[in-house]
Amino acid sequence: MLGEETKQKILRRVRGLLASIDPEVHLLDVVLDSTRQQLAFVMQKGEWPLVVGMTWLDYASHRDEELKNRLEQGLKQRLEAARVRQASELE
Amino acid sequence: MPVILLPRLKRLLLGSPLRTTELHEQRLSKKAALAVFSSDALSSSAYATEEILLALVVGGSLLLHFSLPISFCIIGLLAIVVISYSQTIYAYPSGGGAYIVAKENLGVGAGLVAGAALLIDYILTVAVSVAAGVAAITSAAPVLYRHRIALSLTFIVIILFLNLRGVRESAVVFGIPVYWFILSIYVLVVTGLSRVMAGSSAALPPPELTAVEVLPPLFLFLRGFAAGCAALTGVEAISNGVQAFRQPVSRNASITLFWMAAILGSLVISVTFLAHHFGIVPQHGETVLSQINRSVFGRGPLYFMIQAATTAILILAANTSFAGFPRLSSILAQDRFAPRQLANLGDRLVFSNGALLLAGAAGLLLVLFGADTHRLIPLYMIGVFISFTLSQAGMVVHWRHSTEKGRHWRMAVNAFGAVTTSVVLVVVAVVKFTHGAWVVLLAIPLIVYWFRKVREHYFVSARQLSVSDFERVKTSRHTVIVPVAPVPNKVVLTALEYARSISGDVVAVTVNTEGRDATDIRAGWKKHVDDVPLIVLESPYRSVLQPLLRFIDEMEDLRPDDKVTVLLPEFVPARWWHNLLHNQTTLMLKGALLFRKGIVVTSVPHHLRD
Repeated sequence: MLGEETKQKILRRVRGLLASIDPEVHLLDVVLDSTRQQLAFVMQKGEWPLVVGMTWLDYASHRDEELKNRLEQGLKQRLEAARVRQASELE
Repeated sequence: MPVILLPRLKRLLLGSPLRTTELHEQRLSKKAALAVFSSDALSSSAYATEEILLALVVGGSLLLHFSLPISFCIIGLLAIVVISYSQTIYAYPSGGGAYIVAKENLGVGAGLVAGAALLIDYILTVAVSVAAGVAAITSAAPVLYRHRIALSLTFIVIILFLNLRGVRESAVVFGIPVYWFILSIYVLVVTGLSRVMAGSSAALPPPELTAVEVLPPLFLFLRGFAAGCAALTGVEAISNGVQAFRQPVSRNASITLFWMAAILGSLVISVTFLAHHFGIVPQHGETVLSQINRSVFGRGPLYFMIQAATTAILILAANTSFAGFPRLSSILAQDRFAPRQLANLGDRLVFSNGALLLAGAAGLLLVLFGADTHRLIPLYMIGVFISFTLSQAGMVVHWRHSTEKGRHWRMAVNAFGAVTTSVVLVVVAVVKFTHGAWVVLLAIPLIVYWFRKVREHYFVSARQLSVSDFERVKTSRHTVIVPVAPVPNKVVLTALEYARSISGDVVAVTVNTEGRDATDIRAGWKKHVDDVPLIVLESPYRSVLQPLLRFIDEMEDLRPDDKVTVLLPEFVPARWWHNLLHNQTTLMLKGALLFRKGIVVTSVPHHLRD
């Protein structure tokens, strides 16, 4: 589990980047797995929760611009998956 | 109804469960079997004559004299069918009737047609018998006529209840009315015939009736014959249930079959003769048998006693189907052509699910057809004669492959039976087609299609569950998601303890429907749980399930090597009615997750004290 200080640092950084990608997406939390290698960014756009994964190494080594690209790419993928799910739910 | 009380109520109504080892003890003597398996066939003597007259009456009073020759033809047909079926009883002592005989000798397709025909026939037997029994009551008490559907449904429930208690007890219960009916009708017939012979009761001509349909006499004769074939329904029941007899099963079953045929034949011919002698024609509101009864005994105590006996056997004739339908559906289920639940023996060693299905289907028919015998009868008989024909044809093939002594004459007997019943089948189908036979002719292929789809499903399932191509998938990660209430309690903490024991990756998730500050919720959480992160999902429209399910889907998609378990904290109240005081979110979530692929769902119950 992430320490509170580290978590807040990550949240601040990622929230800043997300605001420039899509202001409607809110970062709710970040979770580190038990191997301490994998991060999961839990976000929400409207009613839809979205979870974007990333390795700790990538997160730590990426510059802001690279991290923004990764997040944008991940978000795009998750939003598309959400769109497909919503369509199947409506069917 | 508290769930805990259901077993007690069931035991009170149906009796204590019987051990499987007691199954062999549920065997019937010939007299008991005559009551259980022959009530359908014998009771049809109460309405067969009326059906013949109803078919003839449209041609005017001049054609009513056909009723006697038609009855003789029906007796001849009965003899052929019974002799043919006695062969089947010896060849197939384990029972199964037309379905087994046709399947083994003519192929699966023919077996399924016979099976579908028989199932329809059993359902119609219940509906027709009960409707006719209620008609006997309303003949004596016309004030009850408008309650006939409710009365019919009540009788079905009573018969179902008796059958769910077990076959031996139902044989005792049904034996009395069957023998009471036989005795009563013989009293009526003997009294009527003795008056005829003594000359105290002169023959009366039928009332003057003009023809309402101009049809060739031969066609009307055939229509009357087809209608009177209702007398043959139920004849196959003994052959289907041979295994329910005491040893030696075949001999006992065969003797019972001949007893039944002799009684049935004598009743049909006598009742038709008396109807003819007294010039009786079908009337709205009173059955033909009631009219004969009234002509012989007036409206005295004997009249009411015979009406009561007729009602009793007609109502209980449905019991033949309650013996046959569940047995046949269990055989179909064992062959994977019907749902497996139909093959399960209930607490009282009866196929309870089959009995329940039969009662439901017959009840539905009675409601749809207004519990009117004459509207139900045209649907009848197609199924009966299809199964007769396929069974006899199957026996022909059986003897052809047999090396038994006397196989040639046995084959000839069955061949004659098959040809005769197939001719009757064609006649019934043609003359009754527009009267409702088309429904059954359409239903049989649909049921056969359903049988095949059921079997296909079982085969596909079995193939997918087979271990032969099992490849072990290594799961390197395991994430446990615990949906929780925003404020932690003992139930949640107990569930988290368990979650920690099965994985190092545990995530709690809650839905904030009340617009509270997520930081406050997390702060409240941290006071009690400091090693499991809590995700607070916002729900602007106050839905709890939707955001949770979507979050679980997202977590499932996160990594391909990750197994997701949703662990549901659940509290169990001390009293059943306490459940009504709580939201059933866990139950709904469990139901919704049931259809999510790749997600394991489990719950940790926490029992509350009273």
